[in-house]
Amino acid sequence: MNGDAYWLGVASGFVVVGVVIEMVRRRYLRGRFALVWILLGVGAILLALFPRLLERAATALGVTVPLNLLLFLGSIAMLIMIMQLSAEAGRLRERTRVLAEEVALLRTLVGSADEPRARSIAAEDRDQDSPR
Amino acid sequence: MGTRGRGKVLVVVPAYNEAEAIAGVVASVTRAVPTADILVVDDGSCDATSAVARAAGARVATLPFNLGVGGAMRTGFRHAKREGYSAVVQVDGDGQHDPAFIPQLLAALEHHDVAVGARFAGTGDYVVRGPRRWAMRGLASGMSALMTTRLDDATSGFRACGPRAISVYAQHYPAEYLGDTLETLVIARKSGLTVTQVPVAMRHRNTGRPSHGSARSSVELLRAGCVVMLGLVREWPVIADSSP
Repeated sequence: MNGDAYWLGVASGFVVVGVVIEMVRRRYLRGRFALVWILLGVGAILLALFPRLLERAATALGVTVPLNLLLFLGSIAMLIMIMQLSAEAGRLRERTRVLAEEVALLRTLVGSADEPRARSIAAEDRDQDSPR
Repeated sequence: MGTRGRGKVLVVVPAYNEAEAIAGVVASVTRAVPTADILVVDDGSCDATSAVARAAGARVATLPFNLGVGGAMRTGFRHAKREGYSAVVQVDGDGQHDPAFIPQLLAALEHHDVAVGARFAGTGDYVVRGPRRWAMRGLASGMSALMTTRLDDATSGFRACGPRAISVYAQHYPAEYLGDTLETLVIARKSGLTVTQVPVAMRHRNTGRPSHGSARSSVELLRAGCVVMLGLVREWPVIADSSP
């Protein structure tokens, strides 16, 4: 590997870790997800700094081209994270649904005294949703 | 927890933009079953559905955004369970279901947990032709075999549920497409509920168009198959206890 590409790899690894840490600091990324991203970033830096690691791992696993191992592992990692996000989205959707149902029932208990205002609040909520 | 519904019947009317039809539906339900309470679940309508239904004398639960029939119905079942109602009848807000048949549906609850009002079981003149008819036929025989009871109109939303079914559906009522009709039957089966059908006549809709045209029937059938499979594969907790 020539010098420029080496430093490009190292630099992008640091950029990833830097962005993740900044996002965690601003509380955009939380919990498990932050941890996974930091681990991936650190892994990228390590591989960039010590390309021999990848070659050794490839030889040990019987993969002829080291880069193939990297791509394979990378796509597996992405797949797992996407599945994780899909599951999370489904769970959030279900929770939103339950909350909406509860809100509707609570409104019937609170009564219709404030009906015009309730309607305008509901209309505002709808406007904030993405238009269908 | 309330007890205002103890032993009573709750008619749940899911309604989405049905301001024109809803008053008529509420009035005819009141006429058919004067002792029942009516809960109109406004599924995030943009029109005056809530206001009209309230003016017509129904209790109204307004969802903050559109959840589909499944979400609206589960809201109704939650309410029914909390207030201790002994039966829930679903009547669509578009006027398609004739409330005159509600007493017959309720009578069927004597021996079953769920009674489905079926269009093709002999009564009425509701006609569909071509691919849509074949799709519905295929679906009917498939569901009948699966449920081990004859179901000619598994996608019918006109049904009555007894106390055990209320407990199940207050927790689990699918929101997905066709989930509110087909998958609920699969859930009933998996939870140990018994299902039967009652022949009913359906009116043509007062307003609005049917959910799907005849050209898309085979796709619909395929999707229905997927929904049923999904319902079978999913785990549903068995909570059908006899004491509600």
